[in-house]
Amino acid sequence: MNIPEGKIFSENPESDLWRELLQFSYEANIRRFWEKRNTGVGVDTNTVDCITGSFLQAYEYYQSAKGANLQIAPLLLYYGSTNLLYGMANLLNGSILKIENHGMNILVPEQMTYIAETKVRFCSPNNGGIHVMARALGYPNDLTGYGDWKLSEFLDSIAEINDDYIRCYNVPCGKTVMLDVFHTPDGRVEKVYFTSENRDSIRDLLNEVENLKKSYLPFYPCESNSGDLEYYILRHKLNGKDISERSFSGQPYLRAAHKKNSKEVTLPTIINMYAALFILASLCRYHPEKWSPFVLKDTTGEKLLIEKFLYYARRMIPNIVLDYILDSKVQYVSDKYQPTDTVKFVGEHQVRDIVKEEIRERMEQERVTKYGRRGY
Amino acid sequence: MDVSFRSEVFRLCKSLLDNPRAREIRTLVHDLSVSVEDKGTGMFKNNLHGDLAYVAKSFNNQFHGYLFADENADTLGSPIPFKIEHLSNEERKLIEQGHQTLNGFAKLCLEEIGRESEAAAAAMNPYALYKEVKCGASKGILSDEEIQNAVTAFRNGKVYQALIRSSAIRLFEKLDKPAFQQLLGTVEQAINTSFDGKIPEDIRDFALGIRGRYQNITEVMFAFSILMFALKESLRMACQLFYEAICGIDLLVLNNDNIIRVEDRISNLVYQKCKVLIQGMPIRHVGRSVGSIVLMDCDPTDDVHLHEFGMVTAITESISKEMGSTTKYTFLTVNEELIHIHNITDGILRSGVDEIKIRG
Repeated sequence: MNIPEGKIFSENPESDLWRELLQFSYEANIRRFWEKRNTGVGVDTNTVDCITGSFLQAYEYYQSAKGANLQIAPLLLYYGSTNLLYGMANLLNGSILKIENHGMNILVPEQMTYIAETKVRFCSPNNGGIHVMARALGYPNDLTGYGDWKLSEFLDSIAEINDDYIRCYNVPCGKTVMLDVFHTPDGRVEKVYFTSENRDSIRDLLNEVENLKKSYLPFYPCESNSGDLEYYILRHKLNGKDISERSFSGQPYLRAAHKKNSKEVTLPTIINMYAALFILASLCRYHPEKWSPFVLKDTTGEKLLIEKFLYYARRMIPNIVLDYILDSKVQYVSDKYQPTDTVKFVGEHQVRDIVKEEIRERMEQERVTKYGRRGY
Repeated sequence: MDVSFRSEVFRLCKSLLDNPRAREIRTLVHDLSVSVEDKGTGMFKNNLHGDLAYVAKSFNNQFHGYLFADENADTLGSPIPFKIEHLSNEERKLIEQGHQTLNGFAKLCLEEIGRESEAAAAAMNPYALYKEVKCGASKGILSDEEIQNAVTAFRNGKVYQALIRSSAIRLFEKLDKPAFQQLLGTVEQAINTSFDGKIPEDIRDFALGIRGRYQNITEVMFAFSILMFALKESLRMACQLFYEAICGIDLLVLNNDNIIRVEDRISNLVYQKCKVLIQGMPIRHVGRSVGSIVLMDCDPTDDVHLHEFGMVTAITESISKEMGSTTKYTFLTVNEELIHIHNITDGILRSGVDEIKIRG
């Protein structure tokens, strides 16, 4: 049952999400989708088979990953995501896109304290898998121009694991900050909380958010009346666009850019997750001497973070893919249907204005009736 | 093309910002008003003239307030126990010169009207309703040559020209200065009452009526009284702008870097009004209060640009520790002649103000 604004009722979101995606494992649905998108232009059988196979394989990998332990779960999720993104890219493109390799190479340091120190180098900007998929997602930039990336540089940009990231690596902040939104009589106010320890780091992070100055008025620190909470106040400019993103819980957040080779770059969340999965998959597939000890005897607590990341990757990547295919923000909700209430609730100030206006209009009407328009 | 009065006033403001004598006055006004923190003790040094500056500014009539407070230092200390210290001779001279700059300009603008009726010119002076103060300075900061273009622009204004060409001043020739002041004071009161949105009946009926011909002599006189009041306020705004420029205060600009939202834009029979909510409190030691001029220059959407000068009629400051401070400015837009009630003056001019012929 569809609820307006891309909300879909579900008592089992993960399974319903895949049921929605697996529509595209049927030829008739693929043809219908493509004909609707491209005003009647057909799609060849090879492409249909490629898309069907990609979605079905993706589903199997994801199902397996759900039951697998950490030894191979990242690998299964990476394969599943590769198939899903490839299926999506071909579905949106209408023909088979050529992919030569992953578009990434892993660089494993000899010595490392954390798994997150593992690096990746992007390659093959034309036919590398990640580049082909990024283009299908509307991100045309050549990732090879940004140098090497550490796994931590992908993890720090995923809002859903931000708190775990900070705790695990003992850093003042990641690259995301949650926004606490208040609708006040003076308009929308957004708060970004900080502590005395990370006050400056949060300030710097906000200054690194792309287009922050175009969207928001200068932000400044405030505190709650009781003095126990400190936060930056952000208010939108008159014509400031909403540059916040939505986390899995629906809470908006801001994301700072990474500075790579003197360029600011903010990768789409799905690319962050996909690249992180590639690193983890490569570690468990090709570097068991690093991965297995980590899985079996991690002492840093990083394992908890990776497990949480894998959970969100499993849950979010298919959802984001569905969003792209349907061109809508799809949210699975468990709220039962409620009729739309058009009764307007107004605040005290609005009531005063309404009454004032009503009285003024009535007095004007009475006056015109009595004396006419000229008032004599 | 003629340069507008508003443009000429801003040109003079720019020259005042760089004027060496204005800088001396600026330093004095700053020192009279601002208490400086002692870096060693962290305590604020008691400013000898703090109370004088406070009282002077509360009059909201530029340098006149300082001179008045100085002259009445002994009586102004009650019932609130202000400790008003007299200005030194040097300080007084500087303030007098500041006042002369403003008052001299207004008088020069009204010189021609003064030749028709001294009482009218005196009543249209922005300082007409204030008690006279002694002013020893014979010259202001700016020479007559420097202010001539602004004076000419004032006299070339549509409202001024309508008043002069119609010989309307002669209608009031039997009025002496106090009666004239009372007349303009009544108009001012009626107009100012309308700022909260409720236009008084007499103004409303008149404004609705002027779409046709004037019905009687009372309407004609009311029309000219409104024009005279508009010019008086125009000069007051010019004086306020000069005062703020001498004190080194920049024009407050409400733009996309401080506006939270434009709450209201109302146009009625008398004026156009805007309510704008901005982030923070742009407080300065002088100016930026009711009666000051602001510039709204913003893009509410990608395809709409607002560029309006306005005379502030209300300021609501909201000091919130939790949500940050905001300030709401309510202002009436002013046109190129620095007239804030341009809807009604435009209406009067549209309906035509013919030459007045008084039968002997």
